[in-house]
Amino acid sequence: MDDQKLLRIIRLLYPSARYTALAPIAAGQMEGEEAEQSFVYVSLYDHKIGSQTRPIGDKLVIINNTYLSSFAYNVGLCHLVGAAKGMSAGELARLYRHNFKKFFAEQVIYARNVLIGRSLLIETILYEQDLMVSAFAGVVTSGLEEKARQIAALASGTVSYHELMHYFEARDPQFDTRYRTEVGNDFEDIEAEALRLGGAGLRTEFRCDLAATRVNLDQQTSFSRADLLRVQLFVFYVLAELVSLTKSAAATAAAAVEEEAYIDLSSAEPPQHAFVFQIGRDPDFDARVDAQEKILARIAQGEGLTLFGDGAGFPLTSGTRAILQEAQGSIGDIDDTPAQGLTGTDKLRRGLAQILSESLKGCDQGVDFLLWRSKKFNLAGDLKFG
Amino acid sequence: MGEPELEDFVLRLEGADRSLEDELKSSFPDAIVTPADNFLGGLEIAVILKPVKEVLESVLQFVNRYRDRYKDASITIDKKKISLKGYAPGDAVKILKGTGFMAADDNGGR
Repeated sequence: MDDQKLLRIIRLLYPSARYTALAPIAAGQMEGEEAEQSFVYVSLYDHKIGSQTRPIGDKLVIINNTYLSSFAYNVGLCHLVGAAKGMSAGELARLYRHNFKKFFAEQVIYARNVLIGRSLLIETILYEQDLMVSAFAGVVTSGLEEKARQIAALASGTVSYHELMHYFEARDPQFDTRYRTEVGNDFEDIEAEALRLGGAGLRTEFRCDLAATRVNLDQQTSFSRADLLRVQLFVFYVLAELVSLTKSAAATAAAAVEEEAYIDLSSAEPPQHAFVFQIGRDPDFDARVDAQEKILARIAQGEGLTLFGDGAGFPLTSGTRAILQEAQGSIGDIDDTPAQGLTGTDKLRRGLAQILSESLKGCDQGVDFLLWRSKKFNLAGDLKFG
Repeated sequence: MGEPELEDFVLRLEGADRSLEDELKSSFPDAIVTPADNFLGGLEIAVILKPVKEVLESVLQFVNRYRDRYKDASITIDKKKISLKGYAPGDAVKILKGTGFMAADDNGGR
């Protein structure tokens, strides 16, 4: 299959993806293999998340979706800005919440063009965008942005290397032996816990996560060793929230199908329909993060470092995960505290967003336009959102 | 009205198990069957098919036969994702008309 045909099939498989590019990658020759192996690395930006490994005809394709890492960039920048400004946990949570809410809105819209998704997207664009601008004012330096880009790259690497591990696992009949030789027994107890909790499937995910972490910890970054350990754990924290939000969004969209029927475009009545959020967590992914926490703490200890710390390079405390989880769990909350200004959505703004959202009933093209126009892309390098 | 230009369409089975892959390959021998591991967990199998009524009808029959084996089945025709929940064998024309790929008064299809 030539590249053009492969690209056409990828576009069929990921119909809403943009910025798709592919490159063949040499992957060596293992014992028992008759020839040099290769795979095709595909980079794209798609609201359908889940970096995937898939055979297409005679090609093995590994998809790297930069959508997730671009959100990791934003959340990472929030974290760095929060530290630079000495923000309280509550202030930081509001920044995280804005980003999680936008991600959730996009995921709902990806699943289905329903009122709640459109409304939350409008909320984040019209009423909360200021939140980021004012929070970042006077603080964001090229140094912080560079760090955020490195966080995004580590997030991207976490997903890509995880998928590569799946590839080698499928390819190598001696995988178990090779894995044990490479990794040793340092984390066997944590692996056994994954097996106990989720069977062979979760153990495989654990192994792929561990491989990704090990590769990331060898990357050249501007972070100190202790900070790099913290960043890697932070990346897993963020991915866990995004994965939970994706599943929550799918459930919310499915439950919101009937909402469209409430919208009467001939009526002058104010919106009466109250949104129903289906927010939950992904216990399997949370278990994977628990495992990473233990692994990274053990690595830190072995190197005479402490995993948690509030140093200037990249502060990560034992409370960071809870703040992220709280922000994720409260994306639909109304914030009527007068002093908060544009740091959350009050009832008036939600009502206005809902009216605008109702007016977009059945307007798939308009919603798609809004979705893509609410982002800012830097195609020469890493992705950025505006 | 001119007939729209049709791309191949994609049948997507989410939450599928591996054994379904072989059954799809034997049911659609000319199609590209591509299973994908997902970072979120789970398996998605996609099948790339010709956009003709007879093929879509075979898809509906397949989905109906294995409905209890996966969580969700959908098709994507020209970027439109259509859940196959609620559709039964015999509904191919209904789907094609609903998506605008077959004129309402067209009784043929491609």
